[in-house]
Amino acid sequence: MLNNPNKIKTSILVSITLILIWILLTEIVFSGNQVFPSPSLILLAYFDLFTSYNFLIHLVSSISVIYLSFIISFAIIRLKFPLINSRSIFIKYLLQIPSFFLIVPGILIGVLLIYWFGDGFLIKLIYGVFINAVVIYQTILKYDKSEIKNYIFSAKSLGVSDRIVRRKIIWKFLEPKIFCDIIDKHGYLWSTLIAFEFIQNSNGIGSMMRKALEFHDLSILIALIILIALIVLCGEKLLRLINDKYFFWN
Amino acid sequence: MTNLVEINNLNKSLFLDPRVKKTVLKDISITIPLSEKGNITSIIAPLGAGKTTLLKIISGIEKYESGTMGFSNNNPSVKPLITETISVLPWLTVKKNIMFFIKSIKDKISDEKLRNIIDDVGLTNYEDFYPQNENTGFQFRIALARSLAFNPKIILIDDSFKNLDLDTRNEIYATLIKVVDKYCLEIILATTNLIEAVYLSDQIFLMSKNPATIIFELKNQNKYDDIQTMVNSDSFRLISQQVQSKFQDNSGIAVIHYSV
Repeated sequence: MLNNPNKIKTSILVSITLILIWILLTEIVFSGNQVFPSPSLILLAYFDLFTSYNFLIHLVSSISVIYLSFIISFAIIRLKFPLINSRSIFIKYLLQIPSFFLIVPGILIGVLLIYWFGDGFLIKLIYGVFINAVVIYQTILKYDKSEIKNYIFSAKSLGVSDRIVRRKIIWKFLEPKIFCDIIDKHGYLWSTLIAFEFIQNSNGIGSMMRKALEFHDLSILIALIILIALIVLCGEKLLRLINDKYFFWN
Repeated sequence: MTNLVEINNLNKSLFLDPRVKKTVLKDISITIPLSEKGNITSIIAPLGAGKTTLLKIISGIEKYESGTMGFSNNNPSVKPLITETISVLPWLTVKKNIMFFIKSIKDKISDEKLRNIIDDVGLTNYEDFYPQNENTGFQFRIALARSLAFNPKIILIDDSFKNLDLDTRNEIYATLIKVVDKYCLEIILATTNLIEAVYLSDQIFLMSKNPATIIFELKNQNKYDDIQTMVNSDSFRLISQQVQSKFQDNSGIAVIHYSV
């Protein structure tokens, strides 16, 4: 995260410089090149995205899967909030795997799902629920309950049952952690979903990318990547706003 | 049973390491007589002696291995424990914090009673405040109010005042004394602070460490107007000397706080 104003300033300056170099090279120096698209071509590609590629429909499909699947997996785990034995060595190793490396097993599971059940929005949604559930489970397993042991003792001394302690105290402390983890792994969730859509080749932004590659339309691909980056960034900002509003006490 | 609390030869071991079981409490015997008015009993012991374990056993959330523990006929099922790090729920307001646990056990509290409790603990006009940005004294008041809502006969306090500044501590002491009198409560206070124990308590138990065992019992008949007067009094000096000598006789005693 760029918290330092100087770092933000530097990164903005670097980005502007790179864009200027790109404009200079593709529009003036190598204006006749057929490989790397120029900014004007990419601007034209945005028009194609909305007309020929039905971008909005694919975007709605991807966004609904990302956020709907989070809500569904959150609700399912909340309903069946289990007691998990985190002392298992396997679980400990699983927890140490950074989310970046989880992309590969995530995609492999996606391939199996597509192989068994084919295309369709429901399969994609099930996949999204699974990936979100893994992220939520990781958060639950990682959470050190000794942080809130005093809350548990106090509640139990007041005669509150284990079930209520689990559901209304431990879970409540977990909620903001889950939310923060989902925000941190927002990029991971998007990349696995796009990879899944790419393989499934049915609908969603991933399937658009596949079509763009099939047509060797690099300008569409770059336009899409820029749009996705902006969408993911906006989604993350929105989630942070929700986090600040609903978990103000965290 | 003529005593409110009667603990005899209570023993408890804990696994401090997965392979090493250690005796934490050894032959603990504590008797707190039944009283018409409220009382404060202190258990004074060094840090890490086993005070929390003992309070958890008294409150019923932890089991003991051997010995006996009994309560008077008026023994309530609920013996609230106010922990060292005050555990008020940060996402709830003061009022909702008090109501939360009552509702959790499907019980009810009248508005009038709730109002009285809030007034008694000094939280009037703070009902809609969130506790997370308030000081430990404020959070202690919420925890006390939450406990009072259950009509308890006994409240257990686990060294909850140690992070308070002097002024807040004095205010909290005054609130606690007022509440004890009004609700005829028995408070069992675990502390490392001798001054706190002598100022507040009618009965003091000294507990050693490694393993914890009661080494001295003290009835404190003296009442003091304020802490400064108490600290300068001969009676306190005498108690202080007694306590120091008792602790010096026992090995494994960590520092006991004598500061104001």
